[in-house]
Amino acid sequence: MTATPQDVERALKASIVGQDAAIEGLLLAAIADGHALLEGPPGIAKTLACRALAASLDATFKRIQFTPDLLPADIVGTRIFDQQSARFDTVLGPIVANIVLADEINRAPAKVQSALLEAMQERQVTIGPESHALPDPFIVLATMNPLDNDGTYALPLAQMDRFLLKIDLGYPNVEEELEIIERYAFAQTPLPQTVAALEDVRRWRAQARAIHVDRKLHRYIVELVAATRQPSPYVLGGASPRASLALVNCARARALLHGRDYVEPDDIRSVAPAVLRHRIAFTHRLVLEGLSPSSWIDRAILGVPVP
Amino acid sequence: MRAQNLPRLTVERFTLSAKPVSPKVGRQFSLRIVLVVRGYVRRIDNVTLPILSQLALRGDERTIAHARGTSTYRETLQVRANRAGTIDLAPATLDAVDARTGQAEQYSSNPLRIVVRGRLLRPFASAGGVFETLRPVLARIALFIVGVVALVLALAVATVYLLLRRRRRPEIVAPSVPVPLQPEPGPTQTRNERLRDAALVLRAEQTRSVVRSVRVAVRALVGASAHETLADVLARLPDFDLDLVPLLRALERAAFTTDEDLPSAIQSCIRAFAEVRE
Repeated sequence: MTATPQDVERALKASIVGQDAAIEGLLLAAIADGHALLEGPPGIAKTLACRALAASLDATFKRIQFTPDLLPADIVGTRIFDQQSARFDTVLGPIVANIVLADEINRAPAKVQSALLEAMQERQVTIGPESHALPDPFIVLATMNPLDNDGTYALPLAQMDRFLLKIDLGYPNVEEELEIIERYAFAQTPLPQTVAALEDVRRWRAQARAIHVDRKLHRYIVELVAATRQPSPYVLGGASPRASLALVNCARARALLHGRDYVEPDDIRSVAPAVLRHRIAFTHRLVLEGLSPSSWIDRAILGVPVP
Repeated sequence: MRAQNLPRLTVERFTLSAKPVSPKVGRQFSLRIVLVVRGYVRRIDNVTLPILSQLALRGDERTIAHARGTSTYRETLQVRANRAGTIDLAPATLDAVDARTGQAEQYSSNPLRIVVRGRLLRPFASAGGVFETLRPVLARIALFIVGVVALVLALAVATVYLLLRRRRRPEIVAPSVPVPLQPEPGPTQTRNERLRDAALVLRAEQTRSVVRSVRVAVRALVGASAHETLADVLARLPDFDLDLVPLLRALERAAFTTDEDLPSAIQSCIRAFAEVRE
């Protein structure tokens, strides 16, 4: 029997208490063949969610802790001279895995961030004269901590744009936190069992590409993205056409996740904040006036009539 | 958009008003935004409306008039409130560069409080509040009693007249034709009448465009605004309309599914119409 995305969603929810939106975001990234940025305070299961996704898909998983002294070769790989054979051997870096967790991506300098983002875009790494294709699926899940910005290197907007989604994780509510204590106070958090194979992920991607999107919904997507470009004292630059494409792909992935072969307006409205929030350049006036990017985006989205 | 790209305007007046100020629930009324700026301005695009989540938007008209060195932008929104009570609207806003100072500004109109009068009973705040709340109900009861008394009197007069005629002309026997009391036609259709009409239209013409028209009609029936998705509507659907959930879902599918699935989706809609509570 072939596995469905819902099987993986159930397995992840059985392991991770709360964070349903984050679980859905990770699955959308996997189905839509994109990379995701996870932002949230420490200790709210960001790393666990990534590990659990890899475990449920039987995918290879590597974690790279980004630090200021990290070098591109530390993630991509390097060539080492073998004295016995008198030639250079290629040693591939930790980026060669199905799911790569780039922990605290904003702690590494721009050179390293660029190496990672180039690999994300090209799906291959070049070491010396050789190019090495990265495995398929290849998903980068990068984390950022919004509270601790000292000594970090902010990602430029052009590089943020390469992430399909930005998933904001918040603290669990009281009931969820009680459940976390009851389940895991004296035990290691168990990873879910493998419920799907990498072949299933490739099949879901093909299914998602075939999902029907009505022309009225295409227009709705374009109007949503255009709403971020309207003149506003709070916005320096709106979302790019890449955001429109990301919205279509994420809406298709969500429709598949909900067992439909067509997209509804709710699919688009539901994924729009995660797709748009990291692609808009805000002015400092927004923060000075006590507003947040999320509230501005929510207002912009709500202002667009639904088809 | 940078501040340099904002329009340069000298704003003289910016108001938000409702007509009537105290509309009735279910009746259409107008929200008016008036913006007066100095000089000749051909178009103004960036007036941001307040969020109208408690009102159903029925229409929107914008005009710009020029007179005596000023341009007057008028936007009239036709809206309808589906619940009685007080609605507080945030100000409308306009982002522009002040032509006098060269600074980017966000202009705001006045906020607006609308008191929607209606049939719904609210908790009594005071004895006066009790009377105010019950007044429409008492008025209806009084009207009903007056109507019944008038009907009884009319029947009595008619009976006396017939008896007198019978005495005068005993050879003519008037057959007593029972005249059923016709219910007064309501000012608007009921929920189920509108649903029946929508179902009839869909049965008669099973096309995507008709599905979309019917979807709009059913969404309007549950007070959905143009800015609400199905999830928004379902999240605030009152208990009374919960039987419409399968119908709303079926219409959503039929409106956006593939052409191959459309006939089956329309049949689902027709079945869902049949299952709506009478």
